[in-house]
Amino acid sequence: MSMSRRTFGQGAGATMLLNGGLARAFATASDRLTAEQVVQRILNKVASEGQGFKFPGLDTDTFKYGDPATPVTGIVFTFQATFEVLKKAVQAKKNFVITTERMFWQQLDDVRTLKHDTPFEPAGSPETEPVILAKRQYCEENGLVVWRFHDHQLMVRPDLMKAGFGLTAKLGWQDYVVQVQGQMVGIAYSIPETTLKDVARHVARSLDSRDVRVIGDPNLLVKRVGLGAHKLIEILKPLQSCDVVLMSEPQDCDAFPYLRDGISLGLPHPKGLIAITHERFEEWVAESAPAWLKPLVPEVPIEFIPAGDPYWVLPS
Amino acid sequence: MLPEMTCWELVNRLHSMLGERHKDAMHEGIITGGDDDTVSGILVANEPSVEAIRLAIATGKNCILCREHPLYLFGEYLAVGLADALAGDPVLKAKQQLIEDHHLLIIRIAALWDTARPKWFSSALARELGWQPEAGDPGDQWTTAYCNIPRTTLSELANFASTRLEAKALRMVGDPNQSITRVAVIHGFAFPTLVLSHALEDTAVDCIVTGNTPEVDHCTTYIRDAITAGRRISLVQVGYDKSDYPGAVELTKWLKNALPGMPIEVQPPPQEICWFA
Repeated sequence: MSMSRRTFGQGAGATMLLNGGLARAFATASDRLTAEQVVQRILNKVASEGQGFKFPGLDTDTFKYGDPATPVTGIVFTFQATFEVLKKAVQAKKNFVITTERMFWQQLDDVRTLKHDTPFEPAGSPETEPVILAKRQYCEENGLVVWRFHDHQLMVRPDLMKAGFGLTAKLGWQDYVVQVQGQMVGIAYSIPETTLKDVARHVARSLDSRDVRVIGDPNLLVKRVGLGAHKLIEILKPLQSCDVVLMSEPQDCDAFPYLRDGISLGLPHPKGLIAITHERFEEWVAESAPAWLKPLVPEVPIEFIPAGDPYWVLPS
Repeated sequence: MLPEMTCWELVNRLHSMLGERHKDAMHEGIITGGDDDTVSGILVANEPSVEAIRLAIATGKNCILCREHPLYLFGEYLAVGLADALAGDPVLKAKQQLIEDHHLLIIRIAALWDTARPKWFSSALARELGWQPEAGDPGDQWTTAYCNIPRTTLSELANFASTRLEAKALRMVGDPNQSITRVAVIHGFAFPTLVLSHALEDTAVDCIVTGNTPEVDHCTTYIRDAITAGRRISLVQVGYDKSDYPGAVELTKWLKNALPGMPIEVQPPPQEICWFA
């Protein structure tokens, strides 16, 4: 049987009636303040303070799920609205989730619900995929609303870039920050000379990460650490100016071969790479967000729920 | 006496055996060298690294047959803008000089091979792990190889794969005690998410073994969510190089049969590039 967005919504509505007690419980904290009003306050702040203002031509920062007119019982800030984070939000009795990264994956981020009239589950549609369906159904049954706050967050909180997405404080390297020009992240760290092995271990301990991957001679002496993300194109400059680059979510097939060749050639640069997960690189943005948002939205409780490091590794 | 073969003839010969490459393939075919250059010998190396180039030179082979791109242009979104950004890059310049100085032919056949033999690299990895991959249905273009294995746990499987592949930098998602009896093996970079969701359509699959996946926007998060949704599933990443190496070994055997008399060898297993802090 094919199901349209509308019939899915009707089914969800029936479920919500059955779960009326939960919905009413959610409605007690703030009967008036809606998710879209919270977003509007944020965007107003972006408009008045932000640099590179984009609204209303929002690209990434849209409602990913739920009815924006839903009264907000509490706000969860997270790096990524994984299914587990959504469940923790419900346990914490907060129905509005603000996520830095995608709720779904790839190009399927904007499935939304309820307001769409066109059929959304034709045979073979990726939206019928069981994991997507389960995640959506959970949101429906629990009245969750999810909004992505990515591009605008960096505009309205320029301190985040200067602080390396909150990474600097986690690393305890506030005194070592140096400004750099023309790079994806506008800072580097000038640290007391240490071996690569010790720098990497410090990163792993500070970020509580088990899967920090390192390329380079463990005894390499490191004085300058650059920052970059994801793709080789985004770390080329810091690789040429730093002893090592701390990189988020690299692709093995892209940056790693370049590092292998550079080291084989014995050139002055590149020398080394420290690769960490996207979560451990940027999750600190969301962690510090409740304190930033609280003056703007004093009516409801706000908390940070970590998405966490996804991997475990074998003991060495 | 060596068979006389030019670079152009070699590529045509490969096409005559394997057919056409996928229409969307990027940065494939003859990457360096001239069409009329005579092939003196072939080194099969997934990654045409500086190390592989030096080995080819040292063993008198002027041709490298590879999966990866010598100038780091992997393809798709990873390569967007990269060629321009690398203009004047010291690593690129030094590598190009090395290639030019020794008149090396580098031929990339990743999509050509995968279009013709979609499951071979994944099946080779499965066999290296001691598993018997199921034969795919005719016309099945998915790269995934499915294997029933003796009951084990995720933790045991990860330790076993680590020993068997001589790999230390494995990364896992899932409950270490989860029971596993059926594995979807996907060589290389398991991407996009559709590759993983298709593997999960086989409801008996309880583990995916692959080289590497994109994390937040794509595949790793998908598996995390599948677990939370109640699917009994786990993910083992053995490393990109490690996952592709058995395929290069099998490709070399095939090539030796196809080109009798031509000196052909496979690069020894590359050292694992990463170590854990």
